Amino acid sequence: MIRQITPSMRRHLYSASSAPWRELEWSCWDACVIGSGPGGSVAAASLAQAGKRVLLVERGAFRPVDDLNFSVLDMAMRLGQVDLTAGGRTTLHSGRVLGGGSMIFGAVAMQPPSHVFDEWAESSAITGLSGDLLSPHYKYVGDVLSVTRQTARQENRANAIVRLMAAAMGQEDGLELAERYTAGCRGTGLCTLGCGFDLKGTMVNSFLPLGLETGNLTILTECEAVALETEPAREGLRAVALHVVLRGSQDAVAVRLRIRARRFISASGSLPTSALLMRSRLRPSTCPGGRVSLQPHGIVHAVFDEPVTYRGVRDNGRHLPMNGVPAIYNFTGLLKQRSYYWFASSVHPSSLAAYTAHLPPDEHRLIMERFHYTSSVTVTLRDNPERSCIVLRRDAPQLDFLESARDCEALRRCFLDAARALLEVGARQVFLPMLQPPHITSARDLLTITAAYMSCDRLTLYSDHTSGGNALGVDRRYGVTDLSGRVHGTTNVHVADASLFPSACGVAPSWTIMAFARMIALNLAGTP
Amino acid sequence: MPRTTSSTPRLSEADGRFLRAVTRVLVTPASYDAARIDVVANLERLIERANDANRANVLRLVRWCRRIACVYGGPLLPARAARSKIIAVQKLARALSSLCLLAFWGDEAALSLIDAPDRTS
Repeated sequence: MIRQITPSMRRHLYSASSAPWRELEWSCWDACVIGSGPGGSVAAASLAQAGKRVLLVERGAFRPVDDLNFSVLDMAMRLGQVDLTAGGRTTLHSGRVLGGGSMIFGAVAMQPPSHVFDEWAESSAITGLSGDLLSPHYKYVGDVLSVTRQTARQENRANAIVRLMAAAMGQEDGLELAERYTAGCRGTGLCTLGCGFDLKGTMVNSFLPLGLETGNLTILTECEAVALETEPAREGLRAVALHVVLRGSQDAVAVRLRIRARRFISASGSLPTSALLMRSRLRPSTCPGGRVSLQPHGIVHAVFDEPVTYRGVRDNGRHLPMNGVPAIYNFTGLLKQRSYYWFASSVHPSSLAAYTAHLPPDEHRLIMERFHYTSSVTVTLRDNPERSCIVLRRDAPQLDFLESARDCEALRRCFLDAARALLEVGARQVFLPMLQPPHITSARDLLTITAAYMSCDRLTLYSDHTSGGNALGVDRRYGVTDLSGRVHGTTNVHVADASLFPSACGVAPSWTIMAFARMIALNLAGTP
Repeated sequence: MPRTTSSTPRLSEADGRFLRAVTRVLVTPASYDAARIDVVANLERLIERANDANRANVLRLVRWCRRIACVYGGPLLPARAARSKIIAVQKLARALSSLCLLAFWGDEAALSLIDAPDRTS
């Protein structure tokens, strides 16, 4: 069910320019939640519903529904943020707007397979950490966001190619239609621009209105968390205030505030949460920022003789590509065997153009001329980097990582499988996400993939599923946070985002983030 | 209250000339002329609506690309730098290409080229 932030709710939603500074500084909130993505919104709404006075701070601005449209030029670079890992090895995408990552995700609802929870329980030494623990929270979140399983009828041509590829690999049983947060999706395939129809389940049309309607939730946008102010307590460090900077996009001035609360819940994602804890000087009580997983994506493109995407339609005078995204297949068979999954990505011409920008201009022009004949398969690796940690560069977080040899070989295997399967189902030419991609038009050319040097430096990978940094652990030897999300060595600092994950979850992480956030919030509210 | 100041930078005229020339290399001249898309105006629109971090990244990228372009044939940078042995240069060229292509193909006028592919050859 799609909810909306009504005009009366907006009385509790402030921007940098409208914030009542003095009132905010004088108040002492029951909880201050940092970040309004899936974790922060669910935690804030759950606490507000339990009767707690909550202040939610978000670095980005509020974009109301009538501010969203399908124009790439209006929306690209507006809702999200693009960062580079150290040395420019990989691109990281994150949300920077009220609603966080939910505004730019594909609305895919997935739960990690049971073996992932088994691994997490083992690495964190937390007994009882399992999918069953989260199942009531998965259900609640699923109900609020109208999670629906897609049907084969909604399959588009690009998805059909993935199904054919699976059959060519003898893996057809390993495919599973994904569930999505979409009550009435019209299949534009432009979810990452923020759904202009407002039919995608985001935090702005689900949990934030739920929290605001209680009257207990106040939201402050264009507000960047700088550091927590702590003081020693008997059981460890106790946070007494959060220092923030308020700055609107057009404002020439920034205002610094000190926000007091009884509990602080950081849910702004792996990098910002780790950076906040690092800037708050919680060491040596805890060491945030380690064991980060990228779960990188690489897009393999292939040109066919038959059309793969649909022609656009006119909608209110606007030309929409309408390539459809409903039937996304989760390649669970491969996830278990080889630690990666595939899905068909339907793209706008501008995203196809940008994702193939590494090709030589003549090949690029060919792929754009054959836009309707080009299929894109996104390959996602469940990685286990050799080195990955978050470092502060001029107080801003940067991910310093080095992929492991095993990950490089998995990627090679991935590209080989994808290219071979695409050729078997009729692709005329396959384009790999490599800076100097090999020319692949026949099975003989696959040898070039076997011989290619694999390194993230040479690949055009990106990640919007970064996780870890403040992993769960029974004590500080195993991780940074306990099962209630509390940071070890502190009494009232909690984490409720993907940085809790001890390793990559292997699937789209939003549903799991929300389930954890609700469990943590209900524990804090005393109503588990 | 302690306050700090900030300003909103924009593309210069020289940046604009460079970006137009690069886009003409990336897209066929026929498509470029047929669609009549002002890439620089589109980039300005992208930058104007982008958040601070993205805006700063774009302007830094354009500045660096203009600096190294004299070594790689000016607007031929995307084609020539892609064959460079220096990974950082390859990545820079790819990022510049992405930006120009996004500004071209993100324009709704470009969709008419897609739905009538014979006009692009």
